[in-house]
Amino acid sequence: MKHRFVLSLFCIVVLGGCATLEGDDYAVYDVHEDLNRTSYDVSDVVDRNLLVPVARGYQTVLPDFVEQRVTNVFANVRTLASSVNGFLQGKPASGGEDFGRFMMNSTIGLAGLFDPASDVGLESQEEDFGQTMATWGWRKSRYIYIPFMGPSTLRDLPSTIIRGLIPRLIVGPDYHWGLSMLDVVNTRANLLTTTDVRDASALDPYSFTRDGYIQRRKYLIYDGEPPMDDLFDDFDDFEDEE
Amino acid sequence: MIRSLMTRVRWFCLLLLIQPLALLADTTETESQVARVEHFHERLISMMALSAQEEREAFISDEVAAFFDIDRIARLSLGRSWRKLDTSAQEAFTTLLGKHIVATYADRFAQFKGQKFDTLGSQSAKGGVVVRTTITPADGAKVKLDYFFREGKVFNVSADGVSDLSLRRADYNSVLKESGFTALVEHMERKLKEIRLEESEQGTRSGQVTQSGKEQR
Repeated sequence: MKHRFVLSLFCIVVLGGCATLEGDDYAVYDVHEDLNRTSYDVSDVVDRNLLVPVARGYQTVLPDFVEQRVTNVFANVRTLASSVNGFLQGKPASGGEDFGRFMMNSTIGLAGLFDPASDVGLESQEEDFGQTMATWGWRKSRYIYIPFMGPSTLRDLPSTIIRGLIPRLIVGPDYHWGLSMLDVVNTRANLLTTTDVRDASALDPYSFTRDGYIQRRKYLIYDGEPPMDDLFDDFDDFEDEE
Repeated sequence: MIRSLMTRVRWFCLLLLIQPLALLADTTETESQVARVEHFHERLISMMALSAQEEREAFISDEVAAFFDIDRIARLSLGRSWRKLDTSAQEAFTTLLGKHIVATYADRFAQFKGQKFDTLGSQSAKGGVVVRTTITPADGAKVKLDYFFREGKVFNVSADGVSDLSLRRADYNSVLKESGFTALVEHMERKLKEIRLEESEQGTRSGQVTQSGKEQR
C-alpha cells in the first residue's frame, strides 16, 4: 500500500507535468483528487495529534515577544530567496527591496531578530520559485497535497520543498537540526488561526484548503493585485443560468 | 449633406454632455458603497463590546441582511445545483445560509482588541463595484479585505485574495456531490451548533479573522 502510494506520487510528479490541462489559468486542477485526499487525511491525523498540540503548547508557553523574534529570524533568512526570485521575475525593484530588507534586518536588526526595514518602508515581497515559474508562463498546474507538508501544485513543488531547507542552505553545515524543528513548530503555530477558521467554517476541509491555497497563490503571483474583472467573471456562468 | 453633418454634431455634443453625468452617477454609486462598508465596519466594532454570541448575533443580524445579498450568495454558492432544488428547499437553504453568515461574523468578531479598519478606495469593475479596505489587529498582520458589490449589495468578500464565495462554493459542492442536499443542510446545521456551542463553552474569544499569523515585525 505504502509503495503504491509512493509510486503514484512519483508518477504524478515525473509524468504529470507533461500532460496539458484544458481550462482557465490559475483554476483548480485536482486531477488526482483521490490520492490527494488520502495524503490530506493521513497528514491531518498526524497534524491534529502531534503538530497542533505542540504548536498550541509553544504558543502558550512562549511570550508573544519571543515568538515574534523567532518568526522574524526565519522570515529574514527567507527574504534572500525572495530577493533572488524578484530578480528572476524581471522585477529589479522588488528584488532590490528584499535584498535591502535582508541587509538591514541582518545588521541593524540583529540577525533578523528585529524588523527595522519595515519601519523605513522596505516591505516583504513574498516571492518564491513557484511564482517565478508562473511569471515565466507556467500558469496552469495540477494540485497536489504533499504528505506532512501541505498543499502545493506541480509548479510550486520545488519551492514548497526548498522552503524548509532555505535556512540550512544559507547558514551552512553549522545549522542545528533543532532549529529545523523550531522552524516547523513556529510555522505551524503561525498557521493555527487559519486552520481554526477552516475548522470552524468548512464542511469539507480538504476542498476548503485546496481552493484557499490556489486563490492565495494567484493573489501572490499577481503581487496582491489580481485582475478585478476575473473576480466577477468567476461567478458569471452561474449568474447567466438564472 | 449639411443637415446630416449638423445632426452628427448635435449627437456628439449630446454625448459630451451625457458622459460627465454618467461618470458622476458612477462616482456617486461607488461613494455610496464605500459609506456602506464603513458603516458595516463601525457596526462590527460596536458588536465586539457584547460578550455573548447570542447578543452579538442579534445585534448584527439586520446589518448583515441589509449589507449582503444573501439570495445571490445562496444561488452562486450552490452553482448548477441551485436550479435542481424546488422553491421551498431554496428558501430553506437561503435562510440557513443567512444564519450561518451572521453566526460566523458574531464568532470571528467576538472581542475588541484594538482592531482597526481602513478604507483604501473603490473601483468600478465589470458587473459591479469593489471597495478595498484593510483590517489591522493590534497584534497581527494587516489583512486586505475587498467587498464586491452587485446591484447595491455585497455578494463576495475576499481576504488577502481568498474569496469567501469561491471557498463556499467549493465546500458546498463537494458535500453536494458526495452526499446530496439533505446532507449539506445537516452539515450546515451542525456547524452552526458547533459555532454557538464552542462560544458558550469558551466564553469570550479573540477576533479570529483579524489574526492570520505573525508576519515579520
